[in-house]
Amino acid sequence: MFKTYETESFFDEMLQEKGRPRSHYQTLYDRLSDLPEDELKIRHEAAQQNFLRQGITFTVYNDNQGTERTIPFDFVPNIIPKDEWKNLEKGLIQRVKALNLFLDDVYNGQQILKDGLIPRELVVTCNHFYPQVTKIKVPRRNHIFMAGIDLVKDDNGEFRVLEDNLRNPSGLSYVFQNRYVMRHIFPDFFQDYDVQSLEDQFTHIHDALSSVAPNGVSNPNIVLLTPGIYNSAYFDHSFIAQQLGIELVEGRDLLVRDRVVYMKTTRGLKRVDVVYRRIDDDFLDPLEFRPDSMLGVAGLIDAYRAGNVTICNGIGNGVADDKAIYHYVPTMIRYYLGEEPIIKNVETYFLRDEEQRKYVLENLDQLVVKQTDGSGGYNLLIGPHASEEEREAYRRQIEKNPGNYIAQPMIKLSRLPVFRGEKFSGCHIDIRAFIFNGEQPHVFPGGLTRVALKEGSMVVNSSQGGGGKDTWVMTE
Amino acid sequence: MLSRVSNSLYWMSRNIERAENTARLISVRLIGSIEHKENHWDELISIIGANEDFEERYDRYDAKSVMDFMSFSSDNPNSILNCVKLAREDARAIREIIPQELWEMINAFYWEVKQYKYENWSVETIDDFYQMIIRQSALFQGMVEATLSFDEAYLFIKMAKFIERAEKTSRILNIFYYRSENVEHNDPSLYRHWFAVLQSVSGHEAYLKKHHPFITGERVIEFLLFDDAFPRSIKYCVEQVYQVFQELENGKIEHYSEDLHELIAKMRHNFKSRSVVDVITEDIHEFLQEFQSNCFQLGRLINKTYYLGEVGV
Repeated sequence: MFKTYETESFFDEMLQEKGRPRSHYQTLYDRLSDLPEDELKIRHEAAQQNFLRQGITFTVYNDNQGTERTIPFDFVPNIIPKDEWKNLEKGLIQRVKALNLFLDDVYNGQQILKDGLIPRELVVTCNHFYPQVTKIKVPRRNHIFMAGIDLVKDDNGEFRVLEDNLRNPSGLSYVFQNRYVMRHIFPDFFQDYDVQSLEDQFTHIHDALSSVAPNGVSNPNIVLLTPGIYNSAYFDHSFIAQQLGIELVEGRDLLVRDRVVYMKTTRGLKRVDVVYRRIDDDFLDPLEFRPDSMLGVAGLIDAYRAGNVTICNGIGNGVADDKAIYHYVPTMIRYYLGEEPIIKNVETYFLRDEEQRKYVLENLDQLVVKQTDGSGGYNLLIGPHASEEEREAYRRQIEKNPGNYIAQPMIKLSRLPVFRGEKFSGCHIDIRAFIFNGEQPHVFPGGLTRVALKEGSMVVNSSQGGGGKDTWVMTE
Repeated sequence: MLSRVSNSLYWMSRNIERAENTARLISVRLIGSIEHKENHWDELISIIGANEDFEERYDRYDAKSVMDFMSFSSDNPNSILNCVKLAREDARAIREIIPQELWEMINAFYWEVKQYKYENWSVETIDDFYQMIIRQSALFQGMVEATLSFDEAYLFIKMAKFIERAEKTSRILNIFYYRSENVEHNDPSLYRHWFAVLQSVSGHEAYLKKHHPFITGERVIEFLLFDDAFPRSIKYCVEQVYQVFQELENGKIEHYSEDLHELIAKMRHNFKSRSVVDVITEDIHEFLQEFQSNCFQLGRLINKTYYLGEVGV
């Protein structure tokens, strides 16, 4: 099955040049090579069916037949050796710590802006900067209960941070479901491997949520606020609520009276202490943000201001995960922690800067250009893969509002084999790592490995044809 | 428990029960129609009270049209497909509350029903479909019993099921009684008719055990209204609703639950204080219609007592 496999010029997680497997992949490689193609096909199909039966699907919009799709799953896991992971953990904790200090600073004294290390203009013009929440006393000064940091490996095999997600990172449930399916349908793959289990993770997550309860509340009533079943991440919400043993609520289940949040139960109103919300800032409270929001709770922010409820993640976190601010995260790490960044950024060019813009526009065919407030892999230009016309159209977009864009060199994301029915072929991957902040920061072992299934594609988002893989962190 | 969650549990349960009842009703008519020409398919539409909607969309009450409308039509809010779809949506909204196995069962059920809609089903083969619905509903009941803790969630499911059942039995009896009024007392088709009524609520076997093969209208009515042990007799269902209410309220009557308690008491009394002869000599249609309006009222009071209606949509 691997006879025709080509690593090409990319870093392959499984195979070295000349097609020899790396040592931590050797056992799995042998197993895969021994299994008959037909059996792999059957089990591959069984894995997809499993997702459908469990209802882990997203709805295909604009289709009144109610078509639902699963996110394709590939059974070749992403295996990360213990030492490599240990180092990553340190780097992730360092990064999230600095980002949290930055948020606390930006919504309080703004010292880093006063010291001129980050342009003030960049912060205050950011769409996700909310002056409404300045000076609110956030329990433990913890703005980031949960961070999702997207990591990629470049062609030298070095990890880099591609993106920070500090608002509502999703995907945690898929990590568990990928492992669930893997254990059910490919149990033999685990043989001779010692992999970190995921079972106890929800204890850490629950602890983190409890630790930020308003003062004096010892056994807080924690709820997960979802936009509802039509949201594309609904499965994520429902799964996490279930595993944490907390109520999954919609905006209409909550109300605010005398600056206190309550949920409507069959026995009347019950006080709520912590809201893990999976609704964007703009929709959270029609009295403070978008007045047309049907998803939020009127008065929620006022209750938050009064210190009667904690909202996780904090409001206004988007100012720290903006694609332009990203460039300054290493600066934050040096400024707040006095340390050198353990995990590097990807080099970033600002199109607001005339000189950098000039360089970018001259080299569009070699760069990736992104909108600073975009997400989900939409509206980005992958220079080397785009046609001349596409690049021209994008150039005109940029010239209209250059401040809205950043550019990065094309990173050759590392690859892993993907099962294609009769052979394996190399596909690019990234990892979303999850970090939880409670009394102590905690890094979730592994995270979500996403894979770009379209031949040659480097876009891993599920809305753009991405798939998932299990992620194994070795314990020895 | 969140009011919205109870609301979803309640409607999930009613819709699964409704799908099953509809499937059984059609299946019995389908098998019964094989040997006969005149089959009164319109009665089924009358039972679900949708004659107007039906006539807008179909030319006549033939087997295929009635089955299509009652099984798959998206214009019929009570079609089997719609019921299962709604049950699944409710289940999805509370999948963190119900056991994973139960959710998977309902989810798979939905996909199975949906698949049939787009197959070229025929009157000759469609009974497989109805049998599947009945089996899946039984699987649902079994899973609820075997995997759910006996707490509020379980009680709401149970209450909804018995209200739905009682109401359906009442509607079936009401419509089928009309036909028995329009034929001679000793018409041989009457026997077949009443037997089919029993089958429509899966009561023929229980009835035979009790009364042997002597089927008369009066006895069937007595069995379906007053039997203390048959799980689809109306009296039995009302008693079950009462039991659930007692458990929900720990046997107490509080200010907020007074109205609900009073209505359930009245409904129980209606059955305890009357015999089948009373009901037939007075006016059975009136009796059943009163029962149905009590059921409607019951739903409203449950909403009010447990704030189910408080959650806006």
